[in-house]
Amino acid sequence: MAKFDQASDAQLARLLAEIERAGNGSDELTRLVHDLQVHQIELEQQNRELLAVRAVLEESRERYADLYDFAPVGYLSIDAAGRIQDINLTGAKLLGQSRNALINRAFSGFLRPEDRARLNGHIAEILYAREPGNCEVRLRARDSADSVDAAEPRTLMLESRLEDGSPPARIRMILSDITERKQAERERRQREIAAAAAESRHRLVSGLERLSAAATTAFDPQTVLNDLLRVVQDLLRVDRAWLLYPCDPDATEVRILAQSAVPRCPGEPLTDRSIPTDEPLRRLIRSALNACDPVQDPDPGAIAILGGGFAPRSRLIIAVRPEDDRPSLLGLHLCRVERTWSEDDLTLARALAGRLADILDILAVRRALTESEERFRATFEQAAVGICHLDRQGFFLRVNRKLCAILGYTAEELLARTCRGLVHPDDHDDLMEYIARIGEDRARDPEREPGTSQSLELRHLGKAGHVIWCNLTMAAVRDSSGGLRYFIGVIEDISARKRLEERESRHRHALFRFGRISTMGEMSSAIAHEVAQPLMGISTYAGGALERLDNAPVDVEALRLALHQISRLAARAGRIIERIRDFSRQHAGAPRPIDMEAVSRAAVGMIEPEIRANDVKVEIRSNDDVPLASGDPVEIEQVLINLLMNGMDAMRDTPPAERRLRIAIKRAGADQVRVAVGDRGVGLDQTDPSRLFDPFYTTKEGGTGLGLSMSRTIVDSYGGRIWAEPRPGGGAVFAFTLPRHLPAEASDRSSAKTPASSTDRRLADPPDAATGDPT
Amino acid sequence: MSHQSTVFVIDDDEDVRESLRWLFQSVSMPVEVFASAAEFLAHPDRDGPGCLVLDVRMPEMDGLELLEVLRTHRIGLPAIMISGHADVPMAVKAMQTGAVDFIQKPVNHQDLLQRVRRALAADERFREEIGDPRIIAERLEQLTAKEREVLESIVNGSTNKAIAGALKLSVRTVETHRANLMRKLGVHSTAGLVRVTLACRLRP
Repeated sequence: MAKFDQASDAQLARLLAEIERAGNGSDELTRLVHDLQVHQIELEQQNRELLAVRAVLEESRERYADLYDFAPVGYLSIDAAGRIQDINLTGAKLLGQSRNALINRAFSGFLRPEDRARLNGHIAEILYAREPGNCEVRLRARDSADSVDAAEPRTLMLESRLEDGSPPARIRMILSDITERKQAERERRQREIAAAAAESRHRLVSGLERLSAAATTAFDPQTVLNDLLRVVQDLLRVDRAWLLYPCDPDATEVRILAQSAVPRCPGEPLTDRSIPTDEPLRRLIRSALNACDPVQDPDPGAIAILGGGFAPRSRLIIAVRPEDDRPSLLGLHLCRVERTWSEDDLTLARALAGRLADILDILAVRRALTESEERFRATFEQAAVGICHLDRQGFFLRVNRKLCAILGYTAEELLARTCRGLVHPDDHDDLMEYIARIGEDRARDPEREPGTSQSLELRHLGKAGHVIWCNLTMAAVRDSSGGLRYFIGVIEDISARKRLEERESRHRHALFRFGRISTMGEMSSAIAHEVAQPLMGISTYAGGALERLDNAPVDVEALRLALHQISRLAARAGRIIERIRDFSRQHAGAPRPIDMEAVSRAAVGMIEPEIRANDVKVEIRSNDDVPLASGDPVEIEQVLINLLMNGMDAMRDTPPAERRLRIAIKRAGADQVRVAVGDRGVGLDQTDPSRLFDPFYTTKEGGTGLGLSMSRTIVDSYGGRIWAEPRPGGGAVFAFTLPRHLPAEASDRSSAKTPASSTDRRLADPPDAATGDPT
Repeated sequence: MSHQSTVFVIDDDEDVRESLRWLFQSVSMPVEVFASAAEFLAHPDRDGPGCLVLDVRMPEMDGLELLEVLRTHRIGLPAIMISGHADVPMAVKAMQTGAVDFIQKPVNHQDLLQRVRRALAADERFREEIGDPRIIAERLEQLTAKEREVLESIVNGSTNKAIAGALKLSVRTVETHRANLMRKLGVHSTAGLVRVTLACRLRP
């Protein structure tokens, strides 16, 4: 500026000098000079102003240069080939080079190789479209030693625009380092992802929890299945969820086990109905079985069948594979809208299917348990025998219907009672002993199973007080340590059997009696007839003779004839009687050693049914010092049976509680065994003691009068004696003695023979005091 | 009545048979003895007059069976059954079948004689009042079932009208039956009808 000023000043001065030389004081000239001087002043003033502006501009320019160079963003100009034409300091710093070193370098060289094509595309687009544009590129890892940065490449945002006017074309770019922002963004996204994952996980976990909860809220398997599908349907936000069984391509038909749908979901549910498997369905099943993951949107044809004729927009099927059963197929429908199944959905579906499989296993176990329980319950309740559980005190814990029916009580009434209270008083002891035995069984012998084979026949009392014969079989139920938990009792109504037995017993009794009557009775009848014939003859001849004596004249010869006949007939009668005695003697067996106690037991055993029918208690008492007796065991048994039967007959009118027969076996004197049968019957008051043992003497209706007579014959034949006496306190005692068995005498039959006197003696009289009997 | 009333003894035991013969001979009663029912049936005088003395128990044929046989042969004689011990049920049965009398062993001879006399008297009275029991029995057998019913009702004392009502017959029909009955049984009055029937009922 100063130079310019000096030049113009010099020029001006020269001009002014010329003017003075030419005119020198002319007015025109003076005016001209004056004008010039004015111009000069104006010019000098303008110059000053220009200088001021220039200073301002200089200042501004410097400021902008600073702004350019030190801008927080990089400025970059590149030519169409991508070479750097200009760059500010920030930009150079971003690229990690000095500004001068960058000029004419290819910008792409600083980028990661994979981003270079993007840059070229970006440049081309800017050049072509002539519109500003953005591009994100990442810088190549620097080759510098500062390798920390290398791991984290910078990301630049390029905001590019075409520079104005000038060919060749240049593109100006603003480079901003968005690495941090990107990172923040990435972190934010990661956080979001994490949050979403957490959300998804929560959905999953809560879904599984809901599923598990649904599995446990109800007990009925079908309800549980329905609940499960409702949860699945809800969790996956689908319109319909169903479970098909079996997921087996070889099954001829399948069934929808359960389903759940939103209200107004199109298509009818197909539950409770078999669906024949056709080819599309088999394909569907196979596709689910072959895939580990849910199968998305499979063939709609098969689904349409399962969906009740409606082909859903979006579909998802997944095989549910329980361990203990064939797989099922879980199907999910979206009927109205399409859905792209998200990874989340698929994960959830997978997890739900897995859990569903577990639950199906649990349900199967539960069903098995239920069935087992039901079977047990049915067995218990429907059993044809009474079953009960008893605690150790004998209280009923549980009773079945049959037991109630047998005993005539309701279950509630029974549960308030003990089994003992329902048993006939006479059977209490037996019952308590039995229970004690069952309870101890295991304790005594742990190896042995509780005695299920042991049972007890006892009388229960029904509600109406009637007697019910029952067969009770008990077993103890123990915990693992062998402690008694409770008893199981099986009670069988054997009244019918008992009735049958009693009828049979009566029948036997009748037969027995018939046997006695028909053999003894027949014999007696035969004897009577045999003896009666000659007696009749005698009496008739005698009667005729008497008639003739009344009518004189008497034909003596005729009377002689009659008397002769009478004498002959008397002899005939005598022969008959002799024959009868011989007959009864034939019956006497050779004496053998007999254990009276054993024979007594055998006799009691023989008439057990009669004893039971008559409600009589029989007791056998035998002293320890009783020797073996001598006789025929079968015949002596007959004698005992006879006495026992008589005793029972005598107690017909005795109250049942007092009906007792006692067989007392003692040693009598040195060489005898005494057996006494005591009853509590009518006693001997109505009898003629002198005739008690006579044949045909009887006080019993239907009696033959031969039992005691035969007994006497038998006892006599072994050298014993038989007699009757009143029992102190009521009733009668029939006793007999037998000689003690002496081996040396066993073959000497004669010594045991009936002495002639014994038939003459009235054997109703008690024998001598040697037997020590009360008289 | 060409014959005197006879006691017919049937007993398988010879001693008893002969003792009874002796007894009846002792009181001058005509007596015939037989060892079996068959023997008796072969006898020409089997239709009486007289009475039967039988042992209930005989080996081949007991007294009851014999009564049955006699009945089929239209032997209308009164019978006295002699029974042994423990034959009471049989005796009851014998009474029910229509045997006149029954006596138990051992027999008191006077008792037996008394019963025999009574039986003989009954037989004689029957023959006098009604006729030969054999003929009466034959006549009764000729009655139709309806006539028997009517006869039964008459004997029970029913009037014609009551009989007609009970048997669902007209009174006239009953009257016709009654007339037929009297003709067939050879009696001339209702009293005769009743007597014949009752008498026959008491006989084997």
